[in-house]
Amino acid sequence: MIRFIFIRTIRAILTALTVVTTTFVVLRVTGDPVQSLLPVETTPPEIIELYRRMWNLDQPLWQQYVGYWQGIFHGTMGRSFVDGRDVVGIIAERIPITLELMGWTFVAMLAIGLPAGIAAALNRGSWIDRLVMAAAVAGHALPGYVMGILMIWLFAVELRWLPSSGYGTPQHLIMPVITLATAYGAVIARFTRAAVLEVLGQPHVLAARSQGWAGHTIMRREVLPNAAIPLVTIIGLFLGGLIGGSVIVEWIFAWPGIGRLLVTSVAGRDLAIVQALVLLFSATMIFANLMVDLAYAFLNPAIRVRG
Amino acid sequence: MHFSIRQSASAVRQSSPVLVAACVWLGLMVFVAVFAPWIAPYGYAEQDLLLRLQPPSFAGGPPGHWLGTDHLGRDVFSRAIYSIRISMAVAFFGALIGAVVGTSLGALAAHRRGLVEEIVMGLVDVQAALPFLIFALLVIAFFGNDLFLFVLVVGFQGWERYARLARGLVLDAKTRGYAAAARSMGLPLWRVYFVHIGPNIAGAMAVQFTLNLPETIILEAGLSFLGLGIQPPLTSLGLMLNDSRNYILLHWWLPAVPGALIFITALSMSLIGDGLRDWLDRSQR
Repeated sequence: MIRFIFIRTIRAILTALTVVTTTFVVLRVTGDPVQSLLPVETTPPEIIELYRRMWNLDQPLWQQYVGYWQGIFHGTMGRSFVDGRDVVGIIAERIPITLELMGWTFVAMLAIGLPAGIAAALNRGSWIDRLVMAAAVAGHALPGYVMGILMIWLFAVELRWLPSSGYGTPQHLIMPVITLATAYGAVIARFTRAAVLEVLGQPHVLAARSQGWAGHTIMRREVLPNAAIPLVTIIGLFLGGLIGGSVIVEWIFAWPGIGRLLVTSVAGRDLAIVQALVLLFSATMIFANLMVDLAYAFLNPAIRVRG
Repeated sequence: MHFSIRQSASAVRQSSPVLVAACVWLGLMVFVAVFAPWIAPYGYAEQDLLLRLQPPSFAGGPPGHWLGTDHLGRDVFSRAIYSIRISMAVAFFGALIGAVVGTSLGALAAHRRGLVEEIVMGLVDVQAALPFLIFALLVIAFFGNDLFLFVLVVGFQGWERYARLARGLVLDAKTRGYAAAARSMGLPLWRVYFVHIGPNIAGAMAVQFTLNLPETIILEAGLSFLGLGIQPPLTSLGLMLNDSRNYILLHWWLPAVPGALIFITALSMSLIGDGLRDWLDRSQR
């Protein structure tokens, strides 16, 4: 067990090292950011020099690399190329806004996906099963931007129930959350169905049934705890999907979180913000994947031996 | 594992009407993509500023534009045709890049083992740690946006899954008798891989390819929707959808056409991918 945790942690650290080094290298090989920012011909050399010093571009490469790491640990990631504000500050004030969206989405997608998947598995082959599976396939092929536009057209334009975009009231949350949650709720339903069906066929469930246990007792004590194990492993997968999905959804609904910040920063080539966001997303994903691996090892002893 | 025409034909006969409809739709899309310039009545950038935001013919619009016109008076039908061409081309060539790169790296890892394998699988881990949309945005932010680079970036989507799959399959194939036999007969390495191992893993790779296609379409349209993919005056389904956002209030057909095309095409592709996978699973048993 300790060996397993050790190996996994080392792998996660190596992955993080690679990501940080890659963003550093990529940022430097794409040329002098100052030149893409300022008109070279008309800017006085002192100003260019000043900007260089501001982002430590006048130092040798290895010093920049060391400084880059120091910045990450001190929480100073430089200043925005566009408005000169502190990058960490800009991102920090938007993180709670995105977390609000993601948190509700997470709750909503479990609330949609788990009951649908369990119902489909228990009524295998019935119309419930077919409906859930058809919805799962369709949900997978319906991208967030199509779903989002459809929601805006239906609920904001035709029915006039909800504001089409923006942030502030609970009404503003509804459409973004539903847009994100249907896509992943569909996938969760599919996984839950498969996991429950798998457990239902196991000997211990058949034994419990042959001993005359009540159906809901079997579900609560035998089926659901065992079906939960494979579901834990895909949560890491979902986090990645949620991060990508929230970028699109925040863009459609003008939700002022970090996803929208990423899109505007990419469009404006504000590389200081882009690299900080990429590091943030990667760190979150690496940490989540590590936690999932460890949780899975606790839940399923057989995996520990393999390392 | 060979795909013979007789087997494919019987697979089609056994399959559901939904799957047949998906195949027909995809065939239609490929046809439209190939023959777009002959099908479209107008050019994709041809403007008629006197006929802006006209509704479709069947909803009371002018007879010449049967899906209406957009905010610059461009024919929606013609733009949809050209968008299908661009989106299908980007998806197909993109998915091909990912398949070739991923499969080669995976096979290389299985062939060389040791340090090479560690490096390849390490890269796979890094790629899997980063949501691909974020990775694509990063590359576009750093290197700017041109069509060639964009196809390349979109193409890399999913390479890590091909790499994992190919590595596993090649490792498995190496333990089978036929590969060892081919090797022991002194056949050159390329023959062992391309003539003996290749055809045996081709089925699984083809399934992965069809499952990857809809994701590539959705990624391409998504980046174009964010305004960071295909750039005007060129057109794409995602770009059309993005253009339409400001006109939803009164002009429903503008988002409806590209939205429905993206959804139905991605749905058809994943249905075919699922069908192909089930069929392959059955025929291997």
